Formats: sequence, structure tokens, C-alpha cells
Amino acid sequence: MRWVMLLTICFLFLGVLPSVYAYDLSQYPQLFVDGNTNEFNGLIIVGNTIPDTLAAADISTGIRLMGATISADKIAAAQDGGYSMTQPTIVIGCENIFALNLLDKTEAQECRDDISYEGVLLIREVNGFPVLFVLGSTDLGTRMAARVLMHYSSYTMPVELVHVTGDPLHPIITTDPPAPAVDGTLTASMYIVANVPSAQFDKTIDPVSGTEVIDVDYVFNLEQAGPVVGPIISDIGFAAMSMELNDLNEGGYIYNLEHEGFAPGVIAFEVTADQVVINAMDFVLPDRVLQDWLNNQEDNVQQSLTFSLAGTDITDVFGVMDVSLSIDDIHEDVNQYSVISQTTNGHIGDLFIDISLEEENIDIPNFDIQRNDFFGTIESSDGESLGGRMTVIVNDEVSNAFYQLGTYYINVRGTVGAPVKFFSWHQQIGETTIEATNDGREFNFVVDRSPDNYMDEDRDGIPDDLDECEATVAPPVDVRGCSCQQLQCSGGCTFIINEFSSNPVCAPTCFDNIQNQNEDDVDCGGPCNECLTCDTPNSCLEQQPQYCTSDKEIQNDCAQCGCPDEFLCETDGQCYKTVPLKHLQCKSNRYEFGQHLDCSQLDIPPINWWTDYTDRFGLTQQQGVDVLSELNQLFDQLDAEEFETEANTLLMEQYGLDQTDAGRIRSRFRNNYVQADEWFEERISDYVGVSVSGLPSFVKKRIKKKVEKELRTWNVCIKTQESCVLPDVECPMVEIVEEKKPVAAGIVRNEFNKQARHNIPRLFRFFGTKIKANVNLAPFQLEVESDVECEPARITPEQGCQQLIMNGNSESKADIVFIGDAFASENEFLDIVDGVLDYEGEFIDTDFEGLFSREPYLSNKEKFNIWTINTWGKINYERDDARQGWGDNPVPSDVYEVANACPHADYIILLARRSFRSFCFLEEGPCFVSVRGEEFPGRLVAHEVGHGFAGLTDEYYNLIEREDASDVVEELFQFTNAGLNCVPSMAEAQSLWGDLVADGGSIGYYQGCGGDCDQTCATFLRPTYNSIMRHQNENKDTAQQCGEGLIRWSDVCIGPPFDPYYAYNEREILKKLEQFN
Amino acid sequence: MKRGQVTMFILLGVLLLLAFGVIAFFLYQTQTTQFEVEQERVTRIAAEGETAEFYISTCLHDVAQRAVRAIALNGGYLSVVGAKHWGEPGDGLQKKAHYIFAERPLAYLFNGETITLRDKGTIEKMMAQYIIVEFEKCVDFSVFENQDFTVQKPDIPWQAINFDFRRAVVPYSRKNVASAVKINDKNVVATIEYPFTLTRDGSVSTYDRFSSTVDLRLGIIYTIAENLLENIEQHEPYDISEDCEDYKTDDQLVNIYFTPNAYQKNYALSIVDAQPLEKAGAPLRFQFAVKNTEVTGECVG
Repeated sequence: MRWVMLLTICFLFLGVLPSVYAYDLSQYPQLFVDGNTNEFNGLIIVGNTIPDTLAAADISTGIRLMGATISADKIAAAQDGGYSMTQPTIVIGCENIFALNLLDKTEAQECRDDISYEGVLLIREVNGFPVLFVLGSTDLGTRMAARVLMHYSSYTMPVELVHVTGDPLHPIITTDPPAPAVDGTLTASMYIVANVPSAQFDKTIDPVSGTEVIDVDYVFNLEQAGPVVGPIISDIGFAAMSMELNDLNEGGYIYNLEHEGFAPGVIAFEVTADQVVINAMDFVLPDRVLQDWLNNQEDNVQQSLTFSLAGTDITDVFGVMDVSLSIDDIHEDVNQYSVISQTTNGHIGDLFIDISLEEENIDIPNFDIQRNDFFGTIESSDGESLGGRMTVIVNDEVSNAFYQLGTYYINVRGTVGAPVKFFSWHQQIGETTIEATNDGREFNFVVDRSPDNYMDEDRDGIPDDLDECEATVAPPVDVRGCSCQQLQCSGGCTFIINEFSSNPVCAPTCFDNIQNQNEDDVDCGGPCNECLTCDTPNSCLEQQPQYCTSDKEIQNDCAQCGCPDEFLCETDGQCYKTVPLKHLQCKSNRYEFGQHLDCSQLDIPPINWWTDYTDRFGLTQQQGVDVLSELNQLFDQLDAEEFETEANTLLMEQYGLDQTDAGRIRSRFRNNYVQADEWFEERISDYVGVSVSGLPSFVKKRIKKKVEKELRTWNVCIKTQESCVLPDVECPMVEIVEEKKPVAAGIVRNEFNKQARHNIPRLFRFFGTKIKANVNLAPFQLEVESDVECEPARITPEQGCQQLIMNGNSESKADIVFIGDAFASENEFLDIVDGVLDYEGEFIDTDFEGLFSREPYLSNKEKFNIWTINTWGKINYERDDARQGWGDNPVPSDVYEVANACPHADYIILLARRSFRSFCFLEEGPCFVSVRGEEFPGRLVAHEVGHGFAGLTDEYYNLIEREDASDVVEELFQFTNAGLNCVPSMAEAQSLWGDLVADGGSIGYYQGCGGDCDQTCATFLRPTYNSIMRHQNENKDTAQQCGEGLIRWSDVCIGPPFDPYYAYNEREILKKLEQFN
Repeated sequence: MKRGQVTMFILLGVLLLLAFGVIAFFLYQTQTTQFEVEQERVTRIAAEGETAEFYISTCLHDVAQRAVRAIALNGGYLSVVGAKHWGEPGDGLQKKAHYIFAERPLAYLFNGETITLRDKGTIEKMMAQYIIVEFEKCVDFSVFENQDFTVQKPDIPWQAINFDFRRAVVPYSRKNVASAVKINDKNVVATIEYPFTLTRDGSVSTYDRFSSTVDLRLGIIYTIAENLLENIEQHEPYDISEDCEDYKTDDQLVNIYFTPNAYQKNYALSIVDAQPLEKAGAPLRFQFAVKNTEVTGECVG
């Protein structure tokens, strides 16, 4: 014994065993931070659990928050091996070999068992250095202790040991030995033992996942139980519990209860064939519950918690558990309650609520928070009621943020005296402090509605940078943030598109003669084409007319280097090609219909062009408006010839525009203000004869006269396609409308009859009065005036179209020009073109199938020339009011304008990496194809080319009902629904493809086609079950497997192998191909 | 006992004490030297391990957050038109049969007859699949391999197994790579089991399971969408603004935006939660479309 004593004394003497009280926790974190360098000067050794890692993150975050630095190599995971303790050390968790060694423990559980609270902070001296243990009786306890260190400034830690308990998110500290300001403990936990009767749970197989699902709905009453003095308090509340447990077989389970990312407890239960037995459910209640109990112990306590269930084997873990408690008359001395089944009224278990509360000197920092209520009105300075976001900030932290309309009512919480600030959007509108009362206080605010006080322009729910566009005084609503107009780009607007956003941004300015937007040089590099390199001085580059000077600068010098074919050398050294343009005022298929309709007032007011689009010419919005104003003055003062001259001078000299741009602006002015012919107007009365029946003739005459008078106020406005296009590019829809005059007449007749019926007095209707319309559209002329000339277009080689595939002279070939828009690079665009063509026909029935992958194009590919133009963001997009769901569609006139660079193009296909609904005008197109998000873009192009090349229509049928809008003849939308391969009657179908049906094979008479259509198209007939013109991404066999329904949930229906066009459609395509050699 | 004996014992005791002290001192010194040699290696490996954990956890959080946003933006789909690489079939319709809204095809979750909002379980399953695939893309162990670590990680031939996530077996451990997602009202909890080891100089660190909580209120928004669709189905025409009280959250930070259409009976609806504002996050948008019915009104404020 003496030897032992001596040895012990010896060890103590030499300091080999840890000493105590050399350091205390009030010195944290200074003990671990170098005062000179302000760096963390120790090592954090992390235990082997995820919460230990998180605890390390908490501690290091706290150190960083105090302004110190901590490098990554200061945090180490605990591994077997030696460690000398030659620096201040923080040891985290019991699953930590260092913690166990230093504490003289062999097992982690031994370490945990010694911790009487959830967490503990313990500081010791080892080898003269402080060692701070951050430990927990559970993993979560360790994390809780770490959070105290993270928020060290909020707590009093005077000695070397701190016990941590309470809510995981808001730890409550007690210390040992007792400190002056802190004493007592406060904990609350709940323990339930109960059996759930079989009647209260269902066990089913989830049809989707195939997993077993157990739903338990469990409501029970509570009454006082356990040792009772005096009468038993019964009916003191109830608890409800619902469990949804997935993929569980019969057996016993133990799960952590996870609540808001933390695990405040566990549940153990057993699933048998006829019952779920909850063996134990034990968790710590959040401090919200404690706070209620403390503040108002005699009142009801209500608390809802949702737990997710997590175990060790996550493949089997799915479950959620909702627990809500409503307990009346809670008492400190009543901590055990019987659980009474509501259905059987029998005792089925016990609920233990353990409240241990010593009120003396308790220090709970978060519990002295006072609630304050505020209410009042918010008005704008201009007297209008103001709606929008209001934010309340307490102690510089957002406490409440919400939307209000005129009046508001809010409550916030904070310590008494804390500053409270009210904001409307970014503007502070009031300030007060938290008072020691929760009586409501009235504050009425007036908001300065200046441009600085933004509204939720982008309708995203928050005031943010997206609302702070440059031109936001009168903001248009735009779901994507700043609109292109607001961005005021000098080079047009495009979109940054990724998985989650598609926000407008300024387009690359690759033709503005300025080095900007990360360009490597003027208009090259960065977002533009690669810069040409000039390695050999005094030589021509491959790209005519580029010349490398003696200073290794590149300049245009066509005199030395010549020009590409068809381009002429001009004095400025550049090559130009002049393309004569003919101004066709083509009628398109956009209609407005209604009474008292003034077609000239439709569409966007012309002023918009002068503010929205003049940036293309390098003019600001204000300059655009000024230009308009000055041109108006000139136009009023001068004759036509003088106007042209003076306007040109004005635009070139005063606004610095070149000849081409000046011509475009003058043209725009003429179109909008002189000709005013964007809308073509027809009066219905000119084409409708009215007959009235069922009345004496003198009455009929009067009614007829009245109806005809009324009819004269009804107009059909047809939007014309205003654009300068080439003479050999036919305008869309002219032929269609001409062909379909009988159909159009029927539509007008129906519309008229419908309107007329509504206008016949009931009395007359009672006597059988009927009004009928006879519509004759024969005199309806759609011819376009051809004497309007445009300014010729001048094209440089850089702007010109690029030859991709050349099979011969354009006069005998079908020349297709692909116009690229919104691609990240020229190469990306060319890759897409290459992919959608599959010119070698290599990828039939694969994801990469293209236009030439299959017949009839494959055998006729030599009949095509292919050209490309990349637009670099020159295409504008706008929404068609009548087709909101199609997205922002490319403006056809912009596409035509770009296509002018390829004067020989027969067919125009816009390929855009923007999302809109792809479409194509029948016959000659153009086609507008969105490849963004398309899994099989080549198949989509084949579908659209079917429209644009061969006049085939859609063979799918997508029911879209229409509103009976007052200003539109809805049925005119159906013009394009019927076509060569989709007809309203069996007689027509038989005449078109009856011979192929007789031959057998795939051609037949199938109901439903015409694309987006109302019920009318449900009975239209198509020739194939499924072809490229129906669902190009599917094939017949899989479509049959999936059934006729449009909604399919399985991916087996989509993807290769694909269906072809089939015989009838191929025949129509071949007819078209015969026009080419 | 004589005084001399006592003195002797005391002297002997002091000598013994000193002797033990000297021995202990040298033992301590020797041990310390060994420890110091070991320390650098241990610390270095441990720090790398910690970095790996942090790295993996960051990846999971990032991927999980993207999964939540993708699901919300596409009305319950990762991609409405389908995405094989995530095992997402979409709604089986081509892009042009959808409502294009803000550059994105939206599913018609009500077509005039039936509601096709996915149930939460299916959405959770899709998100879990997304996490497995994207997580694989996020983690790049080359940085550890460059530091002489041997990394054993799951190597899954997705194409070969046709994105059958149940067959995503890790070769060396025979454990499944698995992910689980739970959509709660106020957050989404994502867990992934992704076993890998870092080995160097005989030291082996093994990692299995990671978990992350994304503070986006997908659960609340989903419930609002569910209620909204049920009301649209049951009432035609339906004025959303009449039931704003039913849709609002306690903090009134969820708005319902509506895109009107005077010509066709198809509309885009956005349920927008601005709650992430306080955490400097972008608002969460749950978007979908309805057709062949009549809808008006918004809940803003």
C-alpha cells in the first residue's frame, strides 16, 4: 500500500497525471488563440461520428466569428496512434481514442455513462497545455456542448466544468460548482409506453414504390396517474400521434427521432401482424414548450412536433411521425399521465413528462423575450393604397417579413429595449423599441414611392437585385427579373440559361466596334468568335478581306486580299454584297375580331419600338424618343422627298448612325407612322348577307337593317407580317388563307350566327325568328401591294451565311439555312446543326437520329444545300397573347432580316437554345425550333420540316379549350389544324390516302389530329397511328403498350426505335422533292 | 522504531521518489519523442479525412438543394420532358405539349379532368435518384489521390444497369449506394450512403453515410399546390383570390402568381416562397400549369 501511495504522490509531483483547475472556461477562446497572430494555435481532434464533425464545424465557426483564423490542418480526425499534447487541444466526442486515453476509459460507452447531462465541457491541463473536452452522453449531446462554445459570448462559463442540457438548438447551461448567477436545472422529456390497437393502423403495399406502408393514426386522452395526493385530475388533455412507416416488416425497430435536423430522442416499437407496440418513445422537448410552461403553468400547453425516423440502415428507413400534445392544467408535481384510448376508453399506456425546475437564480438567456404586437396602415406618398413586402428587423436581424395590402398586423419578439425597424421593400418607414407589454401599438406608415423604393417587379416574392433594374420607374411585370428593356443593353438581349434559371442578360456585342464584355480584342474572343491571329506581317489572312499589317494588326483590305464570291470591294477596304429587298406586306394568320374594333389601335403602341429596340443602333431609350419626336416634326414640315434627305442627315450627323441604320430607322418610321399598315382591317359586313325568317316582312326588314347596321361595327383585323424579305421568300400563310376561304367563311358564319342569336329579343325568338348569315369571302383579297421597296441590305462576309453542305447550284437545290440563336459559341451551334441533320444517315433509331437519317430524305440528300448563320442574339422574342403557353416566341421579322444574308435560301429554320414551343408555318416555313431541353432534337427538326417542307400538319391531338373572348374569332385558330394529313371528313381522307389503305400496311383512318385544338379535332382523321408528324419521340409499339392516354408515366414509351413518316406522308414529301434536282 | 530507522526510511523514500521520478521523466521524454514523430503523420491524415468529410457533406448539401429547386420549378418533376440520366420519366409528353413558362416547359397538372400531381413519395424517390447521380458528379477524389491516398469508392456503371438504382452496388463492399429524401414542411432532409475509404501508409479511413438538411419549405408549398389543384378541379371557374386565407402561411411569405389568358383555357401558376430570403437564398418556386378549365386571381400579400 505504501508503494502505491508513494507512486501516486510521485506521479502527482511530476505532473504526469492531469492536474485540475489550472485553466478555466472563462478563458475560452483566448486560451486557444495566439494573441499576436490572431490564429487558432491548437488542434481540434474530432471523434468518429458525424455529429462530432459538425461539432468541430460549430467550434471553428465560433472561432472565426470572433475574428480569429483557423486553418484546415488544425482539425484532425481521431485515429489510433500517438499524440504528444504539445499544444492547446480541443477533444470532441467519446468516440475518440484520445478522449478515452486521457480520461482513462477503454470504451466509448464508459465515457458516455459518466456524463450525467446531455453534454459537458471540461477543461484540464495536460503537459502544461489546456485540453478542452467537448463530450456528450449521446452524439447529439456532444453537438449541444459544441454549440455552447460556438456561442461562448452568450454564456457564463466561470470554471472548468459546464453541464449542458435543454433544447439542442438553444442549450441551457448549468455549471458545477455553482456559479453566482447560474443555478438549477431545467429539463423536460417525454416518455411514452403504449400499445396501438390494430384497429388504428393500416398496412398496405405502396403501388408506386412497392414498399410496405404502415399508417398509424393514434389519438389518446390523458389523465393524471402515478402517486396522487388528493383527487385525480382527469381529462387533462389529449395527445395525437400519427405514424407513416415505410418498408417495414414485422419485427422490432429502434429509430432516432429527427426533428428539424436534430435528433432529440428515440422511439422503439414493434410491428406485429395485428398491432404496433410502442415500447418506448423518449425525447427532449424544445424550449418553446418549456417557455410556455414557465410563463403560464396553469394554462393549456399545445405543441406539435414532426419527427422523421432515421435508423442505422437507411435503405430501410422511411417514416414520419407527427406528435401533437394538448395538455391542460400542467403541474410541476404531476409528471405521470395515463394514456387512455379514445376508442376503447381503456388504459393502454403511460405518458411520463418529467419536469425538473428549480427557479432560484436560474439563468436562461432566451426566456426574457417579450412579444410586441403592431398594427396600422401603409399608404404610399401619392395617396394610393400600397401593397408589397414589409420587413421588420429586431436587433438587426429579420424578425418578420410578409406581404401586406393597405393594412397590416404583426407581432415580433425581442428583449425589452431592442430596436425594431420597419421596412417597406428597401425603405425604412419606421422605428421603435420592444416594450415590456404586449398591448397592441398602432403605427401608420407613409411610403415614399420613388424609383428607389422598388416593387416586386419580377414577381418572385422578394425585393432583390432583380428588382433593381436600371429602368424601373414604370416596370413591366416580368417573371424573370429585369426584362430586356430594363437592362438597356447596347447589343441586344439574350438569356443565361441553366438548370434553374433563364435570366435575361445583355447579348454579346460582337459587332459594335468596341472591346467590351470580356472580348479579347475588338468584337472577338470572349463571347464572340475567336480572334484572328496575325503571325505573318504584310500578308492576307484566310478570311478575306483580312490583312495582317507590318505592325501585326489586322485590318480590312480588300484591295490587297480580294473578296469572297459575290462580294464587291469598296473604298473602306471591306467587302459588301448588296441584297435587293422587296417590301412584302404579307398577311399572316393572327386575327382579332370584335365590335367597334379599330385595327390601327391594336398591338403594341409604336412608341415601344423607339424605346425598346433603338438600342440595336446604339441609341439610348431617351435618344429613341427624341429621334421619333424630331422625325415627326420633319414629316409634318417637309414633303416626302425632302423628309427622306433631312431625316437621313439628322440620323447620321446628329445621332452618328451609318447609312444602313439610318435607312432602317427611316423605314420603321414610315411603316409605323405613314403607312400604319401592320394590321389589315376587314369589315365583316362587306362579306356577310343577312337573312331573317319567322316574322312579317316589314318586321324582317327592320330587323335586317338593324342587324346589318350592327354588323358594320364588327371587324376582323388581320395582323400583317411586316418585314423586308427577299422576293423569292414567300410570305407565310397567304396560300393557306386563300385555300381555306370556304373554311374561313364557315367560321365567320358560325360566329355571326352565335352573336346574332344573342341579340334577338326573347319575344321574337319565341315566335321562331331566326337570323342567318350568308358569308362570301370571294372578294376578300389578300394580295400584297408590291410597289413598296426597302432599302437594300448590305452584307459583309462576316455577317454572311456560311456554307455547310453544298451539292450544287442553288437554283436547282433546296437550300436550307439554319439560323442559330442563343448558343454559347459558334461551335456549339454547328455541332447542333450537324446533329440534327445526321447527313451521313448513321444514327437511325438512336437518340441522335436526324433529318437525313431515314427516308425519304436520305435517298434525296443530294437535293439539298445547307447554310448556317449564327445571330449572336439578334432575334427578339415576344409572347403571343392568344398562345400564352407557347412561351416567348421568336419574332419572325427578325428571323427574316437575318435570313436576308442568305438570299438563296428556300427554307429557313431557326434553331434556338431558348425555350419556346417549336412551330413551323406550313409549306415554305419558316420553322422555329427550340432545342433547349430536347432529348431528340433531330427528330423534332424532322417533324417541323414535315410542316415547312411538305405542308404536313400535326397528327397529334391536344385538347385545348378556348375562351369566348370578345375580340377574337376563336375558330380561326383552327386554320392550321386541318391539312393534307389531317382532314375533317372520311370522304376527304379516302380521296387523299384511300389507295394506300387499300394496299394494306400501316396506313388507315385514325381519329384525332390537328395539334392544339378544341373538341372539333377529336373526330378529324389522320393516316397513321403514329408517325413523325404525331409523336416523333415515340414508336408505335410502345405507344400501344402505354395506351391511348396522353399521360404516360413510364419512360418505355419514349425513345428509339422511332416511327417513320409512313407511306402517305413520304409520298407528299417526295412530291415536294421532285421540284429539286 | 528508532529515530535513525525513521530517518533511513525517509531517505530511502526520498531516494525512491527521485528514482521513480527520473525513470518516469525519461519514459515520458521517450514517449513524447515517439509521439512527436507520429504526430505530423496522424494529424495530416486526420486533417485530410476531415476535409473529405466536409467536402462530401458540402456536395450532398449542394446536390440536395438543387434537387429541391428542380423538383419545385418543374411542378414535381426533375424534368417534365423526362431525363434518363436521373431515371426521370417525366410526364410522357413531348415538350411542345407543355406550357412554356419563363423558358421552361411546365406540366399540366390538371387537364380539365384529372389531377396529375405526383405524390410526395414519388417525388422523394426522384429526388433521391437525382442525388445519387449528381452526387457522383460532385465528388472528385483526385485531390486525395494526388496526395498518395488510395481511394476506394463506388464505381457504378449507370448505363449498364439502365439507371436501376436498386442495382447500384458498390463493388468492393457489396453495399448499395442509396439515398433517402424526406420532404418536411419546413425543410428537406437528404441522406446518402456512399461508402468509400481513404488509405495511405496503412492508415484507413472509412466513410459510409452522410446527411444534410436543406432549409427550403417544399412540404408547405407542396401542400398548397395540392389544395390549389383540388379547388381548381372542384370549382370552375375558380377565383384563387377567394381562398387566399386557406393558402397563406403564418409568415405570409408565400404568394401565388397567375398568368392570365383571355384566349385559351390554359394558365401557368407559380407558388413562390420567399422564406429563404433571410438566409440569402433564392426564393423557391413551385410551378405548374392547368388547362381546359377557367382560373383567375392571385394571392399576393
